[in-house]
Amino acid sequence: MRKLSFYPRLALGNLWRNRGTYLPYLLACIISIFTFYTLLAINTNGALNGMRGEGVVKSFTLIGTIIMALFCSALIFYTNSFLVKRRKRELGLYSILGMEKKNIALVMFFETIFMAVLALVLGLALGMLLSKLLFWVLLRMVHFPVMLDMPVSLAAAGITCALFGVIFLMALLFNLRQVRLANPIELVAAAKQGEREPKASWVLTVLGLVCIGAGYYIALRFTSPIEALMYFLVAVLLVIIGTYCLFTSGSIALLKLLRKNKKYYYQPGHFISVSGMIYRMKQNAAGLATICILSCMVLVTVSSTVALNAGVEDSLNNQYPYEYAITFYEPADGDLLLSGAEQIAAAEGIKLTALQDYRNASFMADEQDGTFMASEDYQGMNLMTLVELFLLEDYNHNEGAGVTLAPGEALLLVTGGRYDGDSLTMNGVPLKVRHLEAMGKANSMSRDLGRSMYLVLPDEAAMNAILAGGGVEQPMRRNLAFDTEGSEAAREQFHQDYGAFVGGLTTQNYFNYRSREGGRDDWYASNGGFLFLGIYFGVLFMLAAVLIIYYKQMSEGYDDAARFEILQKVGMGADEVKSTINKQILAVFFLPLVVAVIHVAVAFFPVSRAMVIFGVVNTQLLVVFSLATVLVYALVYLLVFRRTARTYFRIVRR
Amino acid sequence: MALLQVDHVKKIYTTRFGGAKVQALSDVSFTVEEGEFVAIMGESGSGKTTLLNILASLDTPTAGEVMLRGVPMSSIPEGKLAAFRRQHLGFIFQDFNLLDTFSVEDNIYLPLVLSGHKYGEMRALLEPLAHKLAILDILGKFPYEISGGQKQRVAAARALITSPDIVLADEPTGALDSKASGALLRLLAEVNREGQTILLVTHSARAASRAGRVLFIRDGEVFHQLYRGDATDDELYAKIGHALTVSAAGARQAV
Repeated sequence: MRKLSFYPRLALGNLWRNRGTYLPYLLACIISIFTFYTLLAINTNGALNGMRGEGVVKSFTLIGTIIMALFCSALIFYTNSFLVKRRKRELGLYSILGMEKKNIALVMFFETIFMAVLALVLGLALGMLLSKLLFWVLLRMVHFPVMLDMPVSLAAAGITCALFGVIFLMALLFNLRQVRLANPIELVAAAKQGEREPKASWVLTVLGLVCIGAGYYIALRFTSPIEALMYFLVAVLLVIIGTYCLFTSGSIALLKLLRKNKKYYYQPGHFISVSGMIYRMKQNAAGLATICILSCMVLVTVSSTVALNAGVEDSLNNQYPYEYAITFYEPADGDLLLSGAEQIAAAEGIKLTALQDYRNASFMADEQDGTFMASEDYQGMNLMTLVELFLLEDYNHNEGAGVTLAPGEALLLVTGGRYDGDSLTMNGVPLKVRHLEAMGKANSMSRDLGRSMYLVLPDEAAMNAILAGGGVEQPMRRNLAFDTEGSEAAREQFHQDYGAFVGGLTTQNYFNYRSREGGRDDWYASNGGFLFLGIYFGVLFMLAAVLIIYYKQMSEGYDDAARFEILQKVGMGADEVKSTINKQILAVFFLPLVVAVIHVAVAFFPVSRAMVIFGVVNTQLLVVFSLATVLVYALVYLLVFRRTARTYFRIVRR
Repeated sequence: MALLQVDHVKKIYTTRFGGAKVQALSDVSFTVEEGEFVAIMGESGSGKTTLLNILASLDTPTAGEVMLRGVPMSSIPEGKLAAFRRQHLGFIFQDFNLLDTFSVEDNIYLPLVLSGHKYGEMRALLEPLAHKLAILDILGKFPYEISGGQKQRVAAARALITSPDIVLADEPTGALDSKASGALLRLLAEVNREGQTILLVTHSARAASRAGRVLFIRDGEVFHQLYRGDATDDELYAKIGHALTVSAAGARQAV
């Protein structure tokens, strides 16, 4: 018994004695496990099923989970190999003192077990508690109902344990191999061996550039929102791979080029920072790329979430050009609905404005060089054109215009696309068209998932001819739409009373009543969860990015301490050391931010298209919020950087 | 005027918890003239390293003064000390203190770059020096790719390239085998003949026997000094051996 407990005790003692280096490692493991578990738990969260945007959330979290798995493996594996290199001397000493390799292996085995258990327990606990806490806090901060919960997911915890178990096992095997291969003397000398200068691989650089280029191309190429979402995921993966390649190889290539430029290189500041960065770039690259990608995720999720939230009004104005809109089929119902609205409005003391009263019909059509044909094949919905037919009489009445149309002529308004010709064939009926700039609020009423064409025809006969020509069987729709004007309270009251009035109508005929107020409630009911997750992910990624930055500063501090001690002996003043370190960390730490901003600038295009799915079509709004997000994030980044840089100084000056 | 003047230097360390005080140097005085090669000998704990740190301006004495060309080091403001070290002193350390991040060539340039020299000037200074130190063919390599002897010659090149007033060498042969040690010592003797002032701190009698004068330090005091006169290295070596025996006997008597 006593013999058995010796190794675990020795292992624990080792971890404790090396806590200066193992603490950052443990921290890195915990962050990895925490982030991975949280993403996976959301991905497998049952409450998500049926939520609007479920597909997006699931793809997003799945991609996130895969990325995190790759990140974590790279991060943990690299950190581990770095730690073992530092400890070879100690291990060699055990060997010299008479420990057999299999005993050393046993010690290392226990060390790994302790680390793994500690990291998994803390990481999962953090994942379960902190994510619940974060959820709870956020739920109290948002002003809309969210039908989501963050349950503890045992399945996700199981998968997390399995994945990280494998990663830790691989790390252990790597360590054992290191010990097995080396003889004691080599082990003792190993810690003193310098790390080889990394080589810039042109293959990797080119691969990185190609991946990023392809990712950008895909992101920019596909212009319709439904396609964009699909390809966006592919683009994201390509850009991530490219970023990794570029950071590992491109940065070294760039730095070596700088070093070749003797005029630039042999200046006090550049001399030490460039050489230091080259030397450290290999360790750095993975961490920097991770920070870069996490920054991208923060920027994209936060900016689009904020824009989505701020764009709700905008989006509602799009979906509901008029505050109230009713579609019906019997003219008598229209009189009833209108007189009811007028009576209630008079009672509440508000005015009905922008009153619209029109008949119309609509269908989806395919186009082939100006020839349109109604089609019921909705497969490629985004490629089809929505055709809406109106009558000249209604147009003149609503617009207060006096337009006349000869037979075979029509007025045309196109939104969400283009049609430049002055003639077209609609379901076999040839039409000469005059282009309109606007029609009621129809110009802002774009469908945005594709092209809409509004055709104003001279009379009912012309309309029937087109409907018959396309085989569209549809009774004439009648529409009533209006806005209200008055005090906030009175309008609110009107909304309630009129809603009750419409609900209490006892007509046998079908009609459809829509109000913007009601739409707002619906929007939050269906999009609130998505919005909420956006905020949640933003915070989560931010947290992960901050922790990784902190980890990097800490581990590098220990790494650089010896170097700066030598520099001071050789005649470098404390101030020079400080300014050199500043320059070095600044360059290294702002590189990911700069790259992230470039990525986000490109991602802006597909994101703005995806936003259309949620009804946000105001691109300007997204531009403003993206810029604001970048600025705020840069500020936060700077703060974190300065805070952690102090930790670095403290370690280096030790 | 002496190049380096050490005047009644005393150093007392206070332990961390403020309790015990350790006297590392009690009263050290000596001078080094321009062009001299002086060795300071002493056993572990004799105060050699403390003395060297004070001479290198890495540490300040509790009492007394160190003057370089008549300028008291205590008069140099903290912020200018690093530049002062860089311009007036050259260092060779036992463990080389080369930076793995730099190639051999860049390691040698380090103090010059810090002083803002142009690449052309540095290269011109390096060529003859690298030739003399036989490191021309390893200039492009990195410290982890060369042998200990080569490393120490590179460190020597870094110390010499600024043509410092005085080179401070701290056990430069401590980590070298006897062949590499011999080569390095011959080299130091040669640059000394060309006029370079050298102060060598060592506990090796063989290393000290290359010097023009040997100071013996024990318990924080200079207790003896030997001049080479016209003795050969071997004769000086013998004298040092004798002095050490006497010193050891003296120490025994003192116990």
